Amino acid sequence: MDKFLIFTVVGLTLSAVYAIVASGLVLTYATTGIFNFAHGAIGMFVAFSYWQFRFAWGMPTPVALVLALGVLAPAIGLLIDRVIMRGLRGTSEATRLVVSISLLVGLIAVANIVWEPGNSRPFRTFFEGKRIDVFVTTITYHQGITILVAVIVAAGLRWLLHGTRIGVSMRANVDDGTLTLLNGARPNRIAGLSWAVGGFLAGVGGVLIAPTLSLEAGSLSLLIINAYAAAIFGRLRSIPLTFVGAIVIGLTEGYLAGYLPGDNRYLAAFRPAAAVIILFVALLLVPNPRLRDRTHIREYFPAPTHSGMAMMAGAVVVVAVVMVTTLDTVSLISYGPVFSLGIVALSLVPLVGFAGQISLAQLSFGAVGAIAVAHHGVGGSPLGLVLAVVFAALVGIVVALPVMRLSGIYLALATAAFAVALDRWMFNLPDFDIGPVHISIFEVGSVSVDPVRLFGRDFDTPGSLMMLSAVAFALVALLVAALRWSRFGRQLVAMRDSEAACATFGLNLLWPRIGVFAFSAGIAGLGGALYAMQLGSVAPARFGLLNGLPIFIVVVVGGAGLVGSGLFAGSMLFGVLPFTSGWGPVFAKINSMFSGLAGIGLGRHPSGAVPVFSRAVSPLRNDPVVLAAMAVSMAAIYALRIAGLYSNWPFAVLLAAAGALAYLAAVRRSRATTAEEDSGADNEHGERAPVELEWVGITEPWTPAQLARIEQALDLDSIKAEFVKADLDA
Amino acid sequence: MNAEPVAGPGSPEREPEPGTQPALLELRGVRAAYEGIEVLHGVDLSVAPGEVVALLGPNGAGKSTALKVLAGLHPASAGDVVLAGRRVNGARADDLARLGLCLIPEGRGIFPNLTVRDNLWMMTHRGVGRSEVEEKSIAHFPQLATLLDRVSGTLSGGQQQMLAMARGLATDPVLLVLDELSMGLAPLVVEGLYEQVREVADKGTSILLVEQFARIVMNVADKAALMVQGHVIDTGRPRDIEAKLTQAYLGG
Amino acid sequence: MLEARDVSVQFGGHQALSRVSIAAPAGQITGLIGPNGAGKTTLFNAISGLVTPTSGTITIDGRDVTGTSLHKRARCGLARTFQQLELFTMLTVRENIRVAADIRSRWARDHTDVGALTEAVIDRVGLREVADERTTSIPTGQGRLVELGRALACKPRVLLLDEPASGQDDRETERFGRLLVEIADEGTAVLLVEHDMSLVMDVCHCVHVLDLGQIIAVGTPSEIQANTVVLDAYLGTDARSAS
Repeated sequence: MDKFLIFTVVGLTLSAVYAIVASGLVLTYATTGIFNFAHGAIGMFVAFSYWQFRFAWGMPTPVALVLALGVLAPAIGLLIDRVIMRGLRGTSEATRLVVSISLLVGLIAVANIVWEPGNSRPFRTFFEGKRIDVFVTTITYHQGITILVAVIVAAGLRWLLHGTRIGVSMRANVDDGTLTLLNGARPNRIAGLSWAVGGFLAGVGGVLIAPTLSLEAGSLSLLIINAYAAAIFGRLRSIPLTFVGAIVIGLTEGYLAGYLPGDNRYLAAFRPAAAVIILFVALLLVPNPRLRDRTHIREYFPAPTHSGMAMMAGAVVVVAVVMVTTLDTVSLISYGPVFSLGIVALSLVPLVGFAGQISLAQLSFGAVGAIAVAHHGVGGSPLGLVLAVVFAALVGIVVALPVMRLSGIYLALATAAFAVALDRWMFNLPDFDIGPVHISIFEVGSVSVDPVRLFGRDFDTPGSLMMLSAVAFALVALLVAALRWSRFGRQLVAMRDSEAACATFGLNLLWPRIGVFAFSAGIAGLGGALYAMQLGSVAPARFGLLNGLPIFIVVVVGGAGLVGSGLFAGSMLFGVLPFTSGWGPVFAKINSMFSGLAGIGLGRHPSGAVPVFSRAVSPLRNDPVVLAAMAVSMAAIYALRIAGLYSNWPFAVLLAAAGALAYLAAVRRSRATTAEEDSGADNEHGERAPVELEWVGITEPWTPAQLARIEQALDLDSIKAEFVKADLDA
Repeated sequence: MNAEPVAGPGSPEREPEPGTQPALLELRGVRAAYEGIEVLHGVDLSVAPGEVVALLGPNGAGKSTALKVLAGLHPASAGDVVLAGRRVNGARADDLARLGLCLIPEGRGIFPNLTVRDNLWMMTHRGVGRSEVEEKSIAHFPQLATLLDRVSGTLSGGQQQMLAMARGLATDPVLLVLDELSMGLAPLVVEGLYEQVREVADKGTSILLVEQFARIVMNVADKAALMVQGHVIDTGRPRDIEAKLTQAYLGG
Repeated sequence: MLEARDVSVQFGGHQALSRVSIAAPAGQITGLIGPNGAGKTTLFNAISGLVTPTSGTITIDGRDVTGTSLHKRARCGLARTFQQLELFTMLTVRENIRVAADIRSRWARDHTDVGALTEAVIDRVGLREVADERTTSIPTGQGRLVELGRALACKPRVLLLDEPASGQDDRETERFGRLLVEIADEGTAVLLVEHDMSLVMDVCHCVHVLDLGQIIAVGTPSEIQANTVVLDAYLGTDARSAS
């Protein structure tokens, strides 16, 4: 009985934190339509700041609390609304999702820069050591305060939403945004307030939970996944139901902590995953959403061309050859993931880009591939690679079946929950048997992976593995392109636009949805297996949710529907960033924020960055003479490097110079021809690309039409209206 | 597009009209498009102070779009919207609402998950107090008194429309705009609602109403405008317009 | 061919359709008109499976399809277009039609040349000139034709058209009307919701009038035009008589 009460209190304390955090999440989502994946990261950031104020700088507790919760937390919320979210109105749900995930990644990066991980940061609870007897059990002051705060938050939210005019406007805005406008309510004020309150609640939750855990950016941010489960109970709309969900989850965790046999190795790891599994189940109970009908998608991804794909596949192999023959072993190891994890990035293209689905669990499918190759690729058996693909695809199907009817944020949450459940629980399981099948995972630690033996050759050096990965990357890229050209690919792209229309042609939507999930998981499995071979020995930590998010973000930033964005993500994340990080700690810090910042910038270029590059190099690509000249000179530079005439630095500089010269020459020649034809620069879509606004008047003459474009872009009409309004008010 | 000079700070555009009694609301050559497809091809329409104007026309003529443009919910691609002598193109809907432009949209202009009381509370911009709105609304629709704590989505269609109408009646709008008040309601209920409209009109409120069921509004309106395929093709006394309705609605 | 009997649909407390019965016989064009909010699109959604009726039955060719999924009804020969265009924006006009033809050839196990069928449909609806354009760069009127083309590529026996002429100019509408007559003459049952009364009156064999979720009149176009009940539904009851 005593034990029961103790763990009830433990559970209720957790419930209180989850309820506080989740109600903030529900508030911002319901009033602004943006699901804030970074909600937990805000709490994490505020908790760190509070620690800084209170313990590092020794401020008195009330001052530190006011600074952290009264000033900083709402300010972060407001800032996010003003600077980032306000620009996202009218963008697709996927874009908004990526922006908030990027914010999560970015905040963690910033926290890791400011508060270097690894240092011990003692964080005392409130009134540490003091406790109070209640009936037959004792609770600490900290627990008591936590529960009390949750009660106050519940009462406060009730008062805000039912007892104040702006609160009623917030609820009204959930019902009908247009009508609130017609009632004269200020939309910006409503959004701003809900972000500020959301930030405040995240902060309160963070400060309350941080002392009972270790102060670590990633795990604190992800702890909030448990709070997401509570929010799903409230269908992301109802705050009372969210509280109920929080109580269920908190108590479950509390009792699991008390009663789960601690010596059972299979169940011990289950407790931290319990909330995630509850989240998964809660998602399954979400009522069937309406079939997606045509949403206003700003993104457009043209199908890859045959010549473009041939060029890309060739370039990948050539670049790999150059790297393998010029780089030393250490570099080859550190740049190894360019192609192997690049394949994981590539796996997102059919799923996210073609089919418009979302998966945050691609790297987890990669882990499945790694496990398969570790156990079945012993002694270099190629069977390992085959099974890596097969097992990953099968796991993909298992995940896909229950969640396929979901889309958007629900699908994102479900796959994230799956990734975390694998990470926290499944990957930590020891071997077990299901009937005659012996299942072996990471064997509670790490497993070693043998290099594969193919065509009578062992791929046991970093160089040969990089070559193998590059060739695999090129083949997979061609496969993905072929999918896009195929009947199935057309169907996926069509479903992305209108599932309802496809169903009225007699298409059973279930199979294509599951099919593309399996296809993409299989590719990720291959990537994971190759990555595991490069590492030689793999542990589950390599495949956590947070490691996978940057890949997802950069693929979407590159342009999720373009095969090139797989290459973009691979080379950016695992080539360019590690390379520039080598220039010094400042670069390393900036680079750690790269994917976060890039994702946040996505709102402006929803079709991604790759088209911008590809448009920029199109004069070069369309000029065979210059292209050939460039290829020959680069080959010569390479030959001299191989001959040992100079080292890597001059080699890189010469290559860059050759490329730059060729580019300039191509641009010049294309200008000359266009001037002759006097027909304007046609780009590959056959339409004249409008000049970037900044260049109007420089590369293009001033015309009334251009002036109108600028007026429109600068929103001068609304500014005018503001003046008119001021005039009318006076 | 017009390449006129951009208005700088301190020089807001005015539309001076010396000598004439300015219309309260004027649409001049308004064009509007959805995704590049133009649906209003230059609409001209005016409402004088104290006047009740009915905008009539068959489905898909562009009536609702015209209302959206003048209420700031949809941008005009060309032309001017002039409210009380000032050009308000591109002004935001919430600003216009605070200036006294009260649009009650098509369907039910209420918040279904809010109680009647909270719905009335939402109407209290423009300095009209909360209790005042409640009193006035109940004076117009005594039925609402017993419904104050009901969630408004559970009311009958007629009651919901009464609640929506309350905003037009209790907030003393400068211009009341009613979009398809009768949509989906039984004829008797519609009859009752329009009696209230007539009452407000008699007190001198300017009203612009869009109604598909043209005959209902014939007694209320001082002027009728007939809209077909994105143009106002005729404006005049309601009786004169009525004769042309059948042709416009059901074809020849 | 298509028959809906006593179909009722309720959204929350709102009765969108109450006991609506309508039949679209093979080889005829059946018109469905009514004021805004009368429930025409809801009826289409109930027939095609996007909305589940609270009561009533829907049969295609004598087969009861009430409660079956969208794709199963499509496989019974039902095709439709949408009032709000549901085009595939990442694809060209040709590919839009090709997708429909592909899907049909799969479930119908009809392995005749899908490409040839696509080209035939393109010619038939008159989209040859814009076949390689993306659907975002063509006007709504032609977008309607793409939707019709996709529906035809499924070789339907029942065709539901939801305001197919909106966004088309007079000349296009006239051409469209002729095409509809041709399609019906081949034995397809066509159910047409349309605001363009001249089109409805020109091509329909029989017109149903829906008001407040109920069928208030059925008849030939000329009967409907002369029907005072219909006029009342459109113009409202005469306020003068009540005051």
